[in-house]
Amino acid sequence: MCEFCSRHGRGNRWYLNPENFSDKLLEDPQRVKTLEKVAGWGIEYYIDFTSRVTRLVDWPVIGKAVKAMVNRLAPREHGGQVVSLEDALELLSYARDFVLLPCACRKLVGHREDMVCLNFGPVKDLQRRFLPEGPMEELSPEEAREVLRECDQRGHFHQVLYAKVPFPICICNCDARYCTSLKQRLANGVEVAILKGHEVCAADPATCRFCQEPLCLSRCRFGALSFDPEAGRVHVDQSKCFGCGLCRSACPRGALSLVPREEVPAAAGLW
Amino acid sequence: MNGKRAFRIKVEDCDSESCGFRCQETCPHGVFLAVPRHRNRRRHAAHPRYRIVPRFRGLCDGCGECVAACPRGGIRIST
Ligand code: SF4
Ligand code: SF4
Ligand code: SF4
Ligand code: SF4
Repeated sequence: MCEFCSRHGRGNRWYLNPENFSDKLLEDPQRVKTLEKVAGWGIEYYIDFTSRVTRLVDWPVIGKAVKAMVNRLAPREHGGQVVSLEDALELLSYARDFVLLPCACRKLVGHREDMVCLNFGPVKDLQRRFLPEGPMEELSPEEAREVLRECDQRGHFHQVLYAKVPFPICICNCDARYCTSLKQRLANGVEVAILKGHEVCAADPATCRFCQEPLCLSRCRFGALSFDPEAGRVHVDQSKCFGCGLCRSACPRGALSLVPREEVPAAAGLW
Repeated sequence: MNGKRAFRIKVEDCDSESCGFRCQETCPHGVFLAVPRHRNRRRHAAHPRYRIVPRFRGLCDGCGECVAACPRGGIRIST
């Protein structure tokens, strides 16, 4: 269980606890302030600001203090965690008012307008208020689930984002080239920007035949999969695995599965 | 920087609107971030203009493709 779950999960994962979706949480002024910051045009300034701050984490001398500050502040504002497709689909059953928005990271890093950011809860109204002309697509719950499945097929991993822990507002579906949360983690070591998921990948050596063009390898954007020449099989570095599950859906033989992170000694406690 | 060699990247001359953000299209690691030129949200909403910054330079592998892609020759990479 990650730190967010032990405080807000009630025995479950924090984003699967129905209480955390309640409108009551909007009575917290700090949460409302965060929501206003990350809705509409605000998100562009927010990405600029946070990525400027987190860049200082690997600076000498001040780096440690900056990291401690980021670790303390991020959970009070905005951040996320990787989730499997199953968890993402279950999460949707606790949420309402689904809207699809263009991904701000993909726009700012790649100048693309991709509708892959699945928002819910208060975001629809905020978007109307702050960016009434902006593109927004309202979705039924079934359409929202379909978006997640399509993104999984395309190789986009799912991440649940919060506006102050533990209030989920969005599942974004992106990849390593564009996701600015992941880049802050990979480039500067800011783990709290995007936590690893609750599961890790396990490969069944008896089932993997190491395909000629192994689809699993190209699906992993976290560098956790490699070819083990001695065994002639795929090797999973579970300490690097984020638990996105994308490799698993690409394997034609069903050799890969997700297992709970805490049951794997090499990955337990590595969020 | 995570054991990797860090490259210094400088964007000295950039006109992203007319070039169409070619460095961003080219860079395989998404090193470049577009940030709003106007600090005022309303002005930005009415006239969105962006400045290119090498914000995620920790991910750069020094391939040099962005340098070749920039029509203004405005990007410089050094170690
Ligand atoms: S796709 Fe499946 S069978 Fe093929 S190499 Fe990967 S794990 Fe092995
Ligand atoms: S090994 Fe599989 S589950 Fe783990 S990060 Fe890579 S693609 Fe995702
Ligand atoms: S040198 Fe290559 S990796 Fe580095 S910023 Fe330019 S295109 Fe990206
Ligand atoms: S390629 Fe050059 S001119 Fe075009 S956006 Fe990048 S830095 Fe600016």
